[in-house]
Amino acid sequence: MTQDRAVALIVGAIAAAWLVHLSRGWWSKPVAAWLLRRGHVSLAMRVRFGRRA
Amino acid sequence: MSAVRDESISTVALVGLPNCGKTSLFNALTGSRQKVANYPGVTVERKEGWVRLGMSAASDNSGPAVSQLRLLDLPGTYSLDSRTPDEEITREVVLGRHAAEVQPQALIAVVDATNLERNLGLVLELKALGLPIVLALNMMDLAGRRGLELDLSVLERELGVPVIPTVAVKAEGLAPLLARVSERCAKRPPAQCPWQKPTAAEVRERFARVDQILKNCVRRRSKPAALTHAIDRLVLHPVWGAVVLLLALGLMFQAIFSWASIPADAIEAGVAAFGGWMGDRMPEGPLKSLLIDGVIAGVGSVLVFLPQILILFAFIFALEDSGYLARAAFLMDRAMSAVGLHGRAFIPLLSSYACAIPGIMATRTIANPRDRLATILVAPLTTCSARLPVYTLLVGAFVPARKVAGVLGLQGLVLFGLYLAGTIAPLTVAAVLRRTVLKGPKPALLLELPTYKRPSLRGLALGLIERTRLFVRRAGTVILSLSVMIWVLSSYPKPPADAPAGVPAIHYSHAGQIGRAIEPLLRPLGFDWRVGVALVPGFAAREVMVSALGTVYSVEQGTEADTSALGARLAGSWSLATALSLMVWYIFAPQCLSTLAVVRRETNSWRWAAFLMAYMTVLAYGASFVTFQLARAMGWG
Repeated sequence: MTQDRAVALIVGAIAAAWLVHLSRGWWSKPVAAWLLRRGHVSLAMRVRFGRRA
Repeated sequence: MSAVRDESISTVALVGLPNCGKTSLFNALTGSRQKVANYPGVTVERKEGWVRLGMSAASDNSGPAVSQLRLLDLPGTYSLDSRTPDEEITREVVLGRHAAEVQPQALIAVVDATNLERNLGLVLELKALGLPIVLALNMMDLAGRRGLELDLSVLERELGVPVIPTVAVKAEGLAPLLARVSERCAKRPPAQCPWQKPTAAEVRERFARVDQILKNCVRRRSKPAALTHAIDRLVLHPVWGAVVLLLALGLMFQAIFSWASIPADAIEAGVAAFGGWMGDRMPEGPLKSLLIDGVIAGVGSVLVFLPQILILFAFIFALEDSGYLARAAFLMDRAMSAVGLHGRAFIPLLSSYACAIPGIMATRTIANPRDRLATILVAPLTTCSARLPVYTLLVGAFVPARKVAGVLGLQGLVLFGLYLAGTIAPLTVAAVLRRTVLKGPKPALLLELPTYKRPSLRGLALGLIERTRLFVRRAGTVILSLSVMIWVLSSYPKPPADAPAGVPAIHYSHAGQIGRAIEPLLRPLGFDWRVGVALVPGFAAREVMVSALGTVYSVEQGTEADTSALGARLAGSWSLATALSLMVWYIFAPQCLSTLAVVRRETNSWRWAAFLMAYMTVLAYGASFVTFQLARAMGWG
């Protein structure tokens, strides 16, 4: 892997992590509901409320 | 989505008056198994912890076994009939009306044994709800020293709840407390807790009942807290009290500069060594530059200030835990009233010296909405710990390290001066706000002064560990991301093939272009394009300014970033006028997105957050402009 590609990967990963964090209010509810239907209560709470769960 | 109950985990809430030892008990029960977060929608710092138990079942097999307790440390409240927003949170959680919190299955009513008269009223209110309660009769050691003798079996019978004596700061009484709590949790709570605002007659009846209970269970009354009264004769004196307060604050600020130098130097050396080690093992290229100039320089230049920030937090925790802060609020009431602020505003403003976010959250103890809003709007002006890296860098680079009057360090004095400015500014702005947009009457101050006690070392240590964790997490997320962003903007695009020699590559980068675009706006303040590039991400987080400057200068000069040399580089390329202008900018500028977010949440309005951003930016620009022009006129530019 070239250094340029490695830099792009690192920067892309950080940007993706922020995107996931900032859009949490949108995706966490349906994902948590899906996890609850499958009986994963603690994980559902953690996904929905993050560190508050 | 309402919270779902896991049957083997019970939620238990600690409820009690302020200063009764709830948090000490919480810390003793949970140790490091706790986390600090916010209640959604309305921001109150919320503590949640976990206690593992052996599997047990209720003796009447009426419920599931309890393997873990989830403990909630709720804000202190004098009554369920709340006067302040944080008391309302406690009531809503206890009654099971809080949308994002499960109703507790049991309550631990924490009671100060030395002050039963004031504490038992709340216990009777809680008992009327029908929830399982265990009473933790705390501070029994203090009660014993004061000669108080209680008949606990009579108290238990009168109240109708188990009474467990505890000394939270020494972790005494925890095992029997947990045993009774888990036993009560195994029973199912009522579906709904009935509660109505009590009438005056009901309140009188409740306190008559408290008097009756005390008459039956107190064998010998306690002696008055003689030491507390003796100390208060000095500390609450209108003249000597102010002297003591100034000395305490002066000691705090001197300590921040002088005590932290050894650990700060160690961290700096460690970061530089790590950067050097990485540099020796990596081939030249953009990845090496990203890791060393972006990540290590960026995050390292902020981490080095951790010792100073912890010293600041340690002083604030110790002052709060000892009971002195309430006295300071009382002393400051007159000064606060002169600018239209409530005396209770002193504690949030003092907390804001560590960080404006918990300071703004602490305004929930102020009942009057206008007083609360005024305090929220000026709290970000106090000199928070995030400004410390910038002040320390600039003071270290431009103020000589010599003694004044043979005793006081000049650098510490200048830092104290900056903190003083960060004290006068919020008071001045509050005076203006309370005479204009937030006009209203000034309510009287009613404050309970707790007895003095030795700060708990365990509580202090846990608090500092939690703050370290929060700081390092912030460095590893927000600061890291912004440092990488600044590096990308400073490094790309690369200069064209026909670029003239002698022009640094950073001139062609996005950062260089942005810096040059805003330079005309900043030139009257004495800032060049490099400061402009560092100021922009600094609006997200103040402390990023230091790492941003480090990255910009190192990328520009094609050298490896070395935070220890940054101060020397700035001293070589900036005038004193520019340094002073930047310090003054930092006194006023609204450079913290997290604070703005908390203001929006606390005020439930983007309008006030926008107002805060606007007035602070205008103040920062104006003050910085005046400072730079004056300094230049005096020949420092």
